[in-house]
Amino acid sequence: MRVRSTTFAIGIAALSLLLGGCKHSQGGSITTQAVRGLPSEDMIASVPLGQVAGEPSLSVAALSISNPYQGNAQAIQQGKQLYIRMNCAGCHAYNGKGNMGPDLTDAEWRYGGLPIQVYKSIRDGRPQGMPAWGVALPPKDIWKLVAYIQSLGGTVSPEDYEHARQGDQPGEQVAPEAQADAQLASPPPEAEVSPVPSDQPIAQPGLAPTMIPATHPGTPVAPKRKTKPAEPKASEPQP
Amino acid sequence: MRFWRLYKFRRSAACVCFTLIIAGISPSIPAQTPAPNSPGNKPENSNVTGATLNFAPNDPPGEWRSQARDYANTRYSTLDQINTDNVAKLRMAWTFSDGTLNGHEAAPLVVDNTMYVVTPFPDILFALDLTRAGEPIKWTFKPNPSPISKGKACCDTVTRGVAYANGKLIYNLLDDHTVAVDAKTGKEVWRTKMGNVETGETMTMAPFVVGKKVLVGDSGGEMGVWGWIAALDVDTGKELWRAYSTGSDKDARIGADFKPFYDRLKGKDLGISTWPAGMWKHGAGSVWAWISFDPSLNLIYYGTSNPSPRVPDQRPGDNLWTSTIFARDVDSGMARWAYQTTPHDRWDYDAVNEDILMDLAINGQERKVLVHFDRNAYAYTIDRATGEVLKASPFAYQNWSSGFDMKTGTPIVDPDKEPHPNVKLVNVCPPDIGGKDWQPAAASPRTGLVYADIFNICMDVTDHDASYIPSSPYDGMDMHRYPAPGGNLGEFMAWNPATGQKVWSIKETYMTMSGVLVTAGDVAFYGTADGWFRAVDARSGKVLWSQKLGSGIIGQPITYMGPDHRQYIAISAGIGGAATVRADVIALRPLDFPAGGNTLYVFSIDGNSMSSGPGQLSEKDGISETPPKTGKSNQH
Amino acid sequence: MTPCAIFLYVRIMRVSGSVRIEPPMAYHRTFGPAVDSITRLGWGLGIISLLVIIIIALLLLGGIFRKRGVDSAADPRQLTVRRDAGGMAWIYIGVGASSVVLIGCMIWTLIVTAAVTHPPVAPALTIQVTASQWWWSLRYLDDSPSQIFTTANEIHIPVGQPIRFELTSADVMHSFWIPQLAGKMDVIPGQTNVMWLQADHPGVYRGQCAAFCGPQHAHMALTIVAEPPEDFLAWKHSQLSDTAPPETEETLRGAQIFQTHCAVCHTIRGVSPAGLVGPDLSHLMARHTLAAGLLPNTPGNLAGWIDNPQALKPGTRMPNPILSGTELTAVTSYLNTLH
Repeated sequence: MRVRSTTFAIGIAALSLLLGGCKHSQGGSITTQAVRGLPSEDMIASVPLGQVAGEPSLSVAALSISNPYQGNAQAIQQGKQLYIRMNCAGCHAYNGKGNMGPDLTDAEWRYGGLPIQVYKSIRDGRPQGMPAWGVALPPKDIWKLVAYIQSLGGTVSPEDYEHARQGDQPGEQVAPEAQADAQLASPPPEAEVSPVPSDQPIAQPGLAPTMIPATHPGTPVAPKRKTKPAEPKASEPQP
Repeated sequence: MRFWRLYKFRRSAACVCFTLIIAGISPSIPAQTPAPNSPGNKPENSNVTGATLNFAPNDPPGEWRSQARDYANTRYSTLDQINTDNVAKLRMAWTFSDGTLNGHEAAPLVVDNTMYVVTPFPDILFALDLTRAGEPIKWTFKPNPSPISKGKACCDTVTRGVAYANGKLIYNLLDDHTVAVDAKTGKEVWRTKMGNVETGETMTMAPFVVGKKVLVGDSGGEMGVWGWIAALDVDTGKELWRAYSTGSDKDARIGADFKPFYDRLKGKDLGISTWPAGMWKHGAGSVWAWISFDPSLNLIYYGTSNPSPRVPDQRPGDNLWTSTIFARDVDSGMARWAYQTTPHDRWDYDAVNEDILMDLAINGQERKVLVHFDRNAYAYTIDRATGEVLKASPFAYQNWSSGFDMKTGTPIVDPDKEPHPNVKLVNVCPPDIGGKDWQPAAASPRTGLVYADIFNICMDVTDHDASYIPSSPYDGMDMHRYPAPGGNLGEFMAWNPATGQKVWSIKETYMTMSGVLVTAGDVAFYGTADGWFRAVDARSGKVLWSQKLGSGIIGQPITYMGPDHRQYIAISAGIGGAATVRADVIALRPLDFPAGGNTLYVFSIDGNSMSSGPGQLSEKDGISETPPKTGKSNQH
Repeated sequence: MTPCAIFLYVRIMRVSGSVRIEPPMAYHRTFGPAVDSITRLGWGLGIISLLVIIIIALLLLGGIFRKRGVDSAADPRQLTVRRDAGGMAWIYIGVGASSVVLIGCMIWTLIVTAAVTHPPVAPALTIQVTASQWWWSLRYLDDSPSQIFTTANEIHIPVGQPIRFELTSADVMHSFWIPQLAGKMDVIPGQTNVMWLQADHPGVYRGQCAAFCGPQHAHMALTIVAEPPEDFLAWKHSQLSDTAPPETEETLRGAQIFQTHCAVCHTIRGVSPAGLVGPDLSHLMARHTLAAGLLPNTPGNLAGWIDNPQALKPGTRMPNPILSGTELTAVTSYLNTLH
């Protein structure tokens, strides 16, 4: 009797564990599921690049499409992998700060910093050298890239987009930290003449490999030599 | 009162006597290579190395007709109106702002009292009339390059200058066109498409003219291009020959005349066999910097870029002919010799830096050499007839190589400094931009020394395997750059090419990425990335004059004689280029100054020029063809 | 069956040459010096263990059912001390025999493991294997750089020569296992493990990833094709050569679709170096299987795979491409030209 009820209890426990496991967040090996479906092609197509003529402050519903992968840690990780493997890092730098392509971490977006606008920039390409990835990458992958870019901090939140469009954003102080370097203001150092350093061997052709110390053949400890007294010359320009 | 007058008389008499005495006792032995217009009042042993330079094609001394000044790339001017005595009186004479904002790497040209200024993308060319006050614009040429090219230039949308030939100004647009513009009218004479910008290839180098040929090359070492150099006809723009930097011997124009000095460069089709199957097609080896020419040997000298991708483990083998200095016959383009400075280049060191041609004595023997400061931090003195390395010694801090084997002509690589994918390699020196980048050095026949802006930088690097996706970077280097020991990022130095040693140097907090100018006045000019433009005594290295400009300086200074017979120094300020573009990559203290600037500065003694001074000056004021004999005019 | 008989049986089977075994992952018979001695060792230890079990079982049974001696129940206060026949001798013999056998096995094991650590001669060929989820990238190394090339999932090796493998992973841990030719070797990200194997008989050997690496771990197979050296060189030569460019209108269109839709992840050598994310597809038609052994390589399977990889191998890194019917046909016909 006791054995049977124990078995029963164990069976129930196992079953509940199994069922509970189904709701567990998907492991990294399984396709990352979007929290809700991806935005439809029609919605995406309705996003204008510029202001709507005739009603410049019109709020366009499609602009507030949010990224279905936003904040999803696995999607961000996969987006980061895509960012490297699709050579985004080559143009936009490995930390997103920009190189041939613009900085993706700051608040400045030529074609818009909303998730849907960034999505369209990636998908459609842009005239100054940004390739169109929509043919090669399926929408899921592009949204994952957008999620990664969002994680870098520079994109505009869909809730905020009207303010961003009208410039109602706080400015940023980008000054450096306290400059301890007073040298920046001081006059340049005197050049010090260095004699031929005696500890640096000169490579001779024809001999066995000569090891040249890989040290900085750097300046100087020789005393400064005075320059010769300047000779006066006629130096006015001729009329 | 009487005493005072007596005192004054005696003082002035003493001054006169003193002056006469000094003038009398100062030796008046001429310099070793007397240049025209030079008083040559320097002591006999002033030329430290005994080097002589050939200034062919001997352009007029008051003009500046090519970026490098001459075939030998000396960047030396025989003008000495500005010299060590008066350079401290340099003041701004006039400026010109060109309306663009990216890195200004080019030098202006001065031909026939007209100054030609080219901007970075969109590559606008201005002609300024130097005979009129205010240097008004004579014409403006807008070439309309493709905006796609903005996204394909690794190191800012720069151009390194225009060339002048036969009444035409010839230069490369970022989108792979070479254009020729009539110097008088500003109209386009011809335009040749050299490549397809959509594949990621761009052109940034200054064309180099030899006789009736103009030599151009491509950019794109980070984009997996197929590197090449080509010769075009100066008058028509027709392509005469093209030599690729990888591929078969036919592609690379290597034939029976090819006689490299070192054994590892001998063999058939090395441009294919030193690469894994097929990778040479996107192996780069682009030609994006300087070319020099020896008229007596009829050879041009230039270097090729790094191999693509920048991840060495993806492309085992020597990866010829990347990171290689070539000597080619200028008429046929056939290679005479080659020397690879960094075999299987693992750090993007390239070999594109300028080759300055000089004749000097090495170990007692007179040799025709080229002097080359490579990005790999070695300074080479190479026999330019044969390709033999005579001297190779580090000029900047480096730790990637533990020595140099003179027998085989190869550097000995430290295995700890070899990058591998997904492994962070710390403290590799120099970084990809090298101990010295494209910023060109100058040589003086009076001192026999070579002057260069160099770097003192290291990097941490992590490689990532790179896919080749056309028009995107074929790269893979994830870097962080920072100052090397010493803390300074830049340094200006004088180098003795005969002994392979630094003579003196000036450390700078920020990068020194400008070209160098040295003159017969024994003054050398250079600029820093934070905007200091300096004049230095070419013998002692003492800084004689400094001026803070509006933006960092990565351009090349020139000097010319204005129509008012004044000597002027011109330099563009406008920071950009590799110095600031990759903000993640260099700890340049990047927020200390903004990236972008665009002003051409022209200096003269006391700032005197037609374009500054009291009174209402205007464009109508100018210099007539023959200047008035006697003094009073509205010039100062 | 005595151990000798088993060994003889194995020998006879090998000598007869036939090597295709069903099921293909069975490792009781092996075909290369990297594992033959291990297999013998395995059999040997197994048989010894079996004998030990039998002997002990017999002894135990003997002990259980042994007739007891006369039991004098006469005096209940007296303890019955039974001194069995043999006494300590049994223990001495038992320990002694066990020790000899165990030490013998240990020595045998050590000899075998020492013997298989290094190949008998220096391997002439090194193959770099990079495992990803869920396929294998293979790079054939060579002293001459232009003979270096990359392929995927199907390894060709010359018969009778030791081959060196350098194993690393691009993502998670995997394990490289071709049971008839070698033991398992883990493939670890950030680390390169080195092993060797040799095939003494030509044939097709199946391998498998042997460390759980995700939902498609079961579909991460490997094939090793061992062929005579001339055939291997011919295969290598064909791998190094460029495929003929497409000629018909459909294959041209297919090539173009491949460039825009597929080349960001897949390389076809000779067309251009391209993506490294997915398997190298150069000379795809020379391979026996698709998707790391999941499907036989037939045009129908290829089209089905390209159209909907997620249905066939759920979770695979290849997304379902957005291709119309005609585009799919064009791409498939192009890929079918890659011999």
